[in-house]
Amino acid sequence: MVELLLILVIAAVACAIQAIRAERLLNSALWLAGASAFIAMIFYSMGAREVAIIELSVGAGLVTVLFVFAISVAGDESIEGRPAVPRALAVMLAGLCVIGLIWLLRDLTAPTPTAASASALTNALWHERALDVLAQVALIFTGVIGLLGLLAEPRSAHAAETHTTPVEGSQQKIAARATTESPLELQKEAARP
Amino acid sequence: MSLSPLAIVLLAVTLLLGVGFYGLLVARNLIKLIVVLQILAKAAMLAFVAAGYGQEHMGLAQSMVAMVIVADTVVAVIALALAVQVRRHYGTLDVRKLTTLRG
Amino acid sequence: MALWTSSLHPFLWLIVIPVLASPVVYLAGRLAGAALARWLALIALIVTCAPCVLAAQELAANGAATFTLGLVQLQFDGLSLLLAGLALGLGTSVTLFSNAYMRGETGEEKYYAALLAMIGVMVGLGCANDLFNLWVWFEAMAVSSYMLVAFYRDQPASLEAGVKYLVQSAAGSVLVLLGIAAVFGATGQLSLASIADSVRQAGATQATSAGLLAAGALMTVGFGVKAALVPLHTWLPDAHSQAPSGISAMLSGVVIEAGLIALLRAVSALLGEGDAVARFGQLLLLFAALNMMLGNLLALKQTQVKRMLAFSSLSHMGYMLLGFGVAAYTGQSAAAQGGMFHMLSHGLMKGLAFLAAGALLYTLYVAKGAHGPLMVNDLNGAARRYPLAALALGVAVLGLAGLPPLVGFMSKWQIFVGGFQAGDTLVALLVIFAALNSVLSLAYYAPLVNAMYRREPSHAVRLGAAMPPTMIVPLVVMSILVIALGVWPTLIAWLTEPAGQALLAGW
Repeated sequence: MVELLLILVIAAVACAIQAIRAERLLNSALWLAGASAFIAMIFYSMGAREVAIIELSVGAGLVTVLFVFAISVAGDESIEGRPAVPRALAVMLAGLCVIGLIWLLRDLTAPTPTAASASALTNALWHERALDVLAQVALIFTGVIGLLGLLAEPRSAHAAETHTTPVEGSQQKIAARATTESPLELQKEAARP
Repeated sequence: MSLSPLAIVLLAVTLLLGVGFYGLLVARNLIKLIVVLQILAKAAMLAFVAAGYGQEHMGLAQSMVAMVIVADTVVAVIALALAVQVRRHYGTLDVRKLTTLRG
Repeated sequence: MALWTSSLHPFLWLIVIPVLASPVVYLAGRLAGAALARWLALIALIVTCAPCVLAAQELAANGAATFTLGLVQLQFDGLSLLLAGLALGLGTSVTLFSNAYMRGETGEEKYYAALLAMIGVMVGLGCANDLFNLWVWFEAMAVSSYMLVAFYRDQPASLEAGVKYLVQSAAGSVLVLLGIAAVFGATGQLSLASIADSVRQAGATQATSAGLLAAGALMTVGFGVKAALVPLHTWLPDAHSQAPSGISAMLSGVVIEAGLIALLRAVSALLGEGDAVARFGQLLLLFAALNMMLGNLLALKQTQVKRMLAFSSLSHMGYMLLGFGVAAYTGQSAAAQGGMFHMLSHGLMKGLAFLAAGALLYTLYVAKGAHGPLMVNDLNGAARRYPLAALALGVAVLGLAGLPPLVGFMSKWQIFVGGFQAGDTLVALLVIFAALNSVLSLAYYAPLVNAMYRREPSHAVRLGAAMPPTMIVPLVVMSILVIALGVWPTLIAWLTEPAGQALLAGW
């Protein structure tokens, strides 16, 4: 138990260091996923089994997808001419995640001394600390609003472009702003590599 | 081995925090900075698991870690959306070039 | 299911109505146009004022109310009432003000939805009586404010402010979490009351006290980022000056105060009895001195109005810290009350100042689709064209400077009196330092008034648009409050006294 834990900790920290050292953002995100997977295994061996699964699926899975998505939109500002390690790395880390998940799920089906922990989590989450969950719902909602606010394509601006269906007289202002801003935008476009 | 599991996990928390703070200082790329914030949050989650292990109160610790994972993912989503907009309007993700505001 | 162990107390509606109204406002805005969202948000906040009054009456009659769900408890005491009143009052003004200011912006309905949710979770933050629950509300407040700060997502400066704010807040939040984990590891408790109990009983073992010391330090730094304790303040001037003016008012008027309340609540539970409270007081006094000095010195050299106001928030945070620090260090209840009074009066005055500056920014720039910062020179001669807005800004900044018949004078006075009554040389010196700082602040507030009233109208002012009445109403109401509470400060004692007592009860 202790030896395994020690190995997992070293692996997790090594992945974290690599995530910071990696030149390319994509590698960085993948190393983060690796760290997340090892941390999930640490959770598991400490008896936090359900959370280990959540961490593996959300931390190593969902967050990595989000990172990759954001990097593909924002562009990977890497230094040119580096050897292309990412593919091998990606395969390795993905394999690691899958193996880890299998390892966890296989073990989960076997009866264990701390089998009561599932009900302990359910109890804590839904009964003892239901107020946290309620506050969390507000948090998630504001997060969604924030995401939409930052990224959603403006409806009214689109309408201003096509000069159809005006949305309550806000067109003029937005159109005016668009014209005042466009030279700046063009300059920036030109300055881009 | 005389190390207890608790000590090892606390060691992991410390190391991850060290790596994370180092990263906060050196990261130039905004998305890299978000990766660093994730590492820091993971250190905090491990700290909760260690505390729950020490107090033999793992159910409670797990519920808190679940909260942290979700809240942290929401923050990461917002931060990445912000990064996409920064790239769109600055043409770079380099945080050292975000210097419109001074003084 | 026996989840609902007590009936719904009025204070719960303070949280529930804004938070539930938030998605309704968003959907209404999406489906029926932003006009509906604008007015629905205002109506929701006005409706929420009714349970606020009820909860205040109940608090005065029966003392603190609690609501328990599972093991987590919400407690509505004087401090919660103060924060709730401030958030709701200022939030209503801001919503009315934004009606014209934000009209036609992309994502207007999201602005109102996030604003409502932020108000609701802030009230929740004030009521939290459990360490981890406190963090969840705190994080929800932070998440709702990220988008609002970076609302002008096409403006590089606004994005930059958003990035700084998000990164520093998130790092601070991790420190808070580590602190909570340390407390949980050391005591096995999460509810603030039982943490305080076990700290007092234990008194105790070496390992526990080391863990608690670490936890206290981590939480002071973590919450200190949000409360803008110098040197953790670097995000504040950017975020507060780049956000839409209504949000600047909310951030400076309520959000940093909420961070301070979270800090006081969380750390108070760890102190136990004896020396620790006094040492915590000394720490607060140190931050008070730093905040007052740096905030004033940096505000002096600003040429942008909103940025100057943002730096002045740092120094006003210093005055509040002075009040609370004196209270913790010497046990002076007058100083704690003064700190609470200043929290309220700063929220009012700084909210008014940002709204008035925002109104001028709107008429001079935003209404024409421009997004320049409002410079001090732009204010030249503003009083001739915009007499009410200029008067409001004048009243607000003179109040912030602490000139007598305004509320800022009374609240600072109460802190200073509390400090002198303590009869401690260090405290007395700090109070004199604070008074000097207050005089120094006139050096940057007075030129604003001078520019508005004694200069010839600037080019921008001559070409300015008309000021919409929905902007003037909140300005006039808040100006009257700033003057009235300055003349009759006892009018607000029902709010500040229980808050001060609630704070002292924790020590």
